[in-house]
Amino acid sequence: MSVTFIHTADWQIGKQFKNVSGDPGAALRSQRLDTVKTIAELAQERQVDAVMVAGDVFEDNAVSDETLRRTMNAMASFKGPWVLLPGNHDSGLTQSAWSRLRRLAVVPENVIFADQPEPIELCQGRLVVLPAPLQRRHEVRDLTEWFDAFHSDEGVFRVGIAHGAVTNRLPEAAEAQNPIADTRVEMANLDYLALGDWHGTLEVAHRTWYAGTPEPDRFKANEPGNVLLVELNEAGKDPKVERVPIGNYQWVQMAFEVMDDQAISVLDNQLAALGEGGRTLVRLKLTGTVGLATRHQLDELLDDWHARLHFLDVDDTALLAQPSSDDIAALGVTGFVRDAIEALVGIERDTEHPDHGDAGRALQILYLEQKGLQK
Amino acid sequence: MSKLLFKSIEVEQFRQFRSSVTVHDLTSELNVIAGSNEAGKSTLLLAVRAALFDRYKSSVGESFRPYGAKVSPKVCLVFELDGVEYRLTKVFSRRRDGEAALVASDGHRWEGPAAEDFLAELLGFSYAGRGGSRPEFQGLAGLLWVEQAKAYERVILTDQSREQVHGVFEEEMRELLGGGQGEALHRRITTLQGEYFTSRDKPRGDYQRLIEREVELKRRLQDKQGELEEYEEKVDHLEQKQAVLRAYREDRTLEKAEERVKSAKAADARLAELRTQVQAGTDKLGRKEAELGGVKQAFDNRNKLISELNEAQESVRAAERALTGKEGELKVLNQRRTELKKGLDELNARKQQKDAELSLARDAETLRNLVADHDRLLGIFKDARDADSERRGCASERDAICVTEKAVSELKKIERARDLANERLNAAATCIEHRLHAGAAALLGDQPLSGDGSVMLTQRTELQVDGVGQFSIIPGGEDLDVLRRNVESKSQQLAQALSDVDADSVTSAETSLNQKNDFNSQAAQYAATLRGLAPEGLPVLEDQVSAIKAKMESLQQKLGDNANKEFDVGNLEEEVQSLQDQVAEIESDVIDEDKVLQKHREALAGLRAEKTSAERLAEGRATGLEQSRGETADDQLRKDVQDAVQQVNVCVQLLEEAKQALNSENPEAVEIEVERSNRALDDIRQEIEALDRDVRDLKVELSAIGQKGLAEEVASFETEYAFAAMQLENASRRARALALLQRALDDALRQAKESVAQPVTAKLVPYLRQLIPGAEPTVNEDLILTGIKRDGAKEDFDDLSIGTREQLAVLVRLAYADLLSEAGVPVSVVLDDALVNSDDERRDRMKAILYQAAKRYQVLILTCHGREYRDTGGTFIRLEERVERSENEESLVQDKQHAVMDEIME
Repeated sequence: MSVTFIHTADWQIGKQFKNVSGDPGAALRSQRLDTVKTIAELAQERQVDAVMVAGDVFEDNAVSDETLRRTMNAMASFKGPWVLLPGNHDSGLTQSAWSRLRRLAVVPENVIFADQPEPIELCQGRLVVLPAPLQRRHEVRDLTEWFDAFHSDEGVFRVGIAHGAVTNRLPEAAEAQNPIADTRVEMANLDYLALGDWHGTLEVAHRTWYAGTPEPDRFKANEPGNVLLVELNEAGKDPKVERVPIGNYQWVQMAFEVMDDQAISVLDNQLAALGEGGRTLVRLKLTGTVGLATRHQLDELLDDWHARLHFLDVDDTALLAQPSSDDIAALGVTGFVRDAIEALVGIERDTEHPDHGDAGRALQILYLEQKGLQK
Repeated sequence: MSKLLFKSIEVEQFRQFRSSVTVHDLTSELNVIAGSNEAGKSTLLLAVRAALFDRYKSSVGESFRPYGAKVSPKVCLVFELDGVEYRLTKVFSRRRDGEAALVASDGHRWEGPAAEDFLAELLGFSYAGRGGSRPEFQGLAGLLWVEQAKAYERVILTDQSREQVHGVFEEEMRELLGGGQGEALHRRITTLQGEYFTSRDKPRGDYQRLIEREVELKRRLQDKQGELEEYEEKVDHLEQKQAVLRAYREDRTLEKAEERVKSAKAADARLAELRTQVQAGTDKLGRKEAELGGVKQAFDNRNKLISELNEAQESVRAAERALTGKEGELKVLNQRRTELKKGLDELNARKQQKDAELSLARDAETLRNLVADHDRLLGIFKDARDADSERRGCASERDAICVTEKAVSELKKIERARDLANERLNAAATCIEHRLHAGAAALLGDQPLSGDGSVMLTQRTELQVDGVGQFSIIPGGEDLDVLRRNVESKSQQLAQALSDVDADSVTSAETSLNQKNDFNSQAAQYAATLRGLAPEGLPVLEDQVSAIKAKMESLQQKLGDNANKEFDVGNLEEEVQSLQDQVAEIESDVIDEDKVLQKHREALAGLRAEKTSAERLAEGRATGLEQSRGETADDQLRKDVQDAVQQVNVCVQLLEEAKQALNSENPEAVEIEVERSNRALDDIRQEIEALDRDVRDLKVELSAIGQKGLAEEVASFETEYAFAAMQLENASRRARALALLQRALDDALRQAKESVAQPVTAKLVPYLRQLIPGAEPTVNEDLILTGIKRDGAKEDFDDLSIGTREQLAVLVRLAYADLLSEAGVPVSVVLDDALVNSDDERRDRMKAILYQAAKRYQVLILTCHGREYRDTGGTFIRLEERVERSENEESLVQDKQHAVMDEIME
């Protein structure tokens, strides 16, 4: 008889988005709880046997009581078992979000804290969950080692749940702490190893999956925004894993080179192609050289998109302002103003000049003000 | 090229010019109008300015009117401009005689205000609203006409002159300065930049508030982060402490420590037992050693008693020997003393005898001396007594005479007064001289006359001549009676005085006084003799004589027959002295012997006492020893000592064995182990207790802090801060960009203005080099000469000498004039004594420069130093020669001219 469960991780409830201020930031924060509600609804809808959260349920052990309570409430619509594993953000210290949740007495019976390295039996013994909780923020040893020595009855599904970096499979920087052997599935004879920490959805090794964060939270193109629906049909056989997109917001990082006047409409089209603007956050890096008039058009376009997107962050430090002869002619300036423009253009081109970073903006201001005066 | 050329100037009833003055032959080049002080050269220039720039009906016109003049001030100028000659006539008055007329050679004519307005337009100036015209209203004249005493001031362009000078480069200026738009843009950017920065480039307004907000939020964030870090640190502490506690429990650390304490205490108990044994052995040894000491003491005491008895017996024997010796010595001494005493007695007897003899001899000698003294004193006494008697006699005689020095002096005075009165009487008296015939007789008064003689009559006197009759002679003069009474009075006084001193005449009184004085001196002489003989008085002397006599008689009685016997006192004295010496010597010997004897006797007594004492001691000791031996025999004592020594040796051996047993247990190590294990146990127990307490406290504390949601607060603050930082960054970018833009525009504008100044500089350079070789002018964007550069150093205009400043001020005007002239603007340069502070060399160079400049436009130099400008090469006009004068003025002028000539001759 098969067992299905939802594998998710890295909810990081309580996370703030310091680079996204104001209402967009507040919306991102509240969305994380809404996403948990969506997961609960999904679990209920799919009638899964359990939901396993592989660490970093909370952004920090020092989140407020209110956040703890809200999280429990968000999970309410799924009455089946929830297995919550402490990760590096919410490690199972003596004083932690977990200890506080217990003290608050708001933890429903179906919610299991996997904060001890002890097996958890589910589905009337058909499934044994082997947790490797982080009891401090950083571990240098592999906490999943004990899985190997644990014996379970024949035919019982063995599912490991851990939080950390799988060795040899991730970029070097991600491996520094909380190591997990990439052969753990084989050594511990696991049917599935549910992992957390890596925010993108990734099958990192055989039967070994990072679910990724269900709600994207950064401009990194590693496929976040999913939960995994895992179906175990026969012990010792590969599971069936389904990615279920669940995230609300998409975080898009774009680089765009402004070559000529046509670039404005190209950029406009590219932004439009991103889909629903209200659920899209864009980080746009502009490069190239732009005339003052074009730059003015570009600014107006970006102002428009600022209003249409949930969030737009433009990095124009690499976009050089280069007044064209047409610009200058259009400004109708002569004499010292023209000399000043030439001087500013010189500074703009001279990357060593101390005022290099401000020259483009200065030119732009001059352009706009002169235009204003002409009107 | 257009030119402004003044041809003639006529001035009448204008300030000091009551008569008319006409300067009519001005050329188009260099003209020098010279006039001595007060000749009116500045007034002439004022008149020209007034004619051109002041309205004829202006209130200032009245100030031109000479004092009390009825006729209004009048100025007439003829000038040529752009080939047209104009004649300008102005009469300054608000009355009907006021006039302004401008007549052009081309037939045009303007009257009144129209003439003035046209003139202003023609020459490019404006009229002052109130009061007299000022340089700022006078267009180019305000710039190029230099007033006296202001020549060294920095040359500033007035609005009108700037407009005109700038007009020359209008096109270039417009190009360089970007026209009105450039200026507007510059202003706009300045305004925008001003929204971000103060004039001192400090942030202001919203920008400043953003900076402050960013700082505040950063601080708040750091505080909150600090709180969170502290919280996390405490969480870590809790974790660590719990780990330590767990480890203690797993290792059974406390129990192990307790077991170690128990084991150490058992070892310590064993040690205590061994220590008790050692202590018991030590105590027993102590007792045995004390016993040994006791018997040793008894044995030693016995030996000591024996030895002391022997010593006492020896002492008795020694005392007996000493006593015998001392008694023998005493006997010898007693004999010697007896002999000495006997000799002494004999000598004393002999001495007594000789002493009696010597006493008699001395008394006899004393008696002889007393007799002699008595005789001598008696003589003296007698002489003294005689002298005293004499003294008394003389004193008595002296006292009997009652005349005194004062009385004699008074007498003499009265006598002189009487004599004087007498003389006066005689002088007034009638003298009767008579020479009677022999036998003839006459009776004058009561006095018979006979023979020759004379009689002085002082009163009526009857002269009876026998046979003739009686004559009454009455001396003349009324005061004769007075004189006579005076004589009588004085005579009575004299008689009375003489009677008082018991004298019959003044001479006798004097004699008496002399006698008195003699007696007095004799009495004094005798008194002195008496004092010499009996200084202490006669009675004392008499008593001395009596006393000596009494002593004399007493001695005579004592000596009796021996009184007259002769003694050899000296020999007797020697004998007595010799005996005395012998007696003293022997007495001294006897005393010495007595002392020796006394000492021997005392020594003998001491020896006897010693002997007795020694005998008593020996006896006592013998008894004590006997008693002691009665109690314990000497041999028994010796045996007791040997037994005790043996017992002590046994105890020592036993104690040594016990000590070895104790040491083999290493008591120090056991003690240390007890201490160590106890301390370790305490330490561990305390630490575990402390850890328990800390864990409990931390749990309570962290649970309280945890609910605040510090991490979310920090994240929230981070968001807020990041937003503020982003806002600030945006504002800073714009602020920096504006500041950069402002700088770029400022720099470009400054450079543009410097370019504008270039033509002025170009004109100025040749002049300046001619005046000061090697110097370069510094002209700013406002076309103002700000200074010069010389030898690489910049010198500000105001720091230069007054002479150099006035020269430069002329040169820059010439440069302006050149530019304007080339641009077709009609200019003329007028210098009113503008080079008074220049030295000869510079002035010569300036004259050459001015001559060159005057080739291009008219230059008028007004000066009171005509002599110094005579060689300019230009037209030279003496102002005095152009004035029509009354006779008085003429002579005044001639005087002045003579003065000028004198000055020139000098």
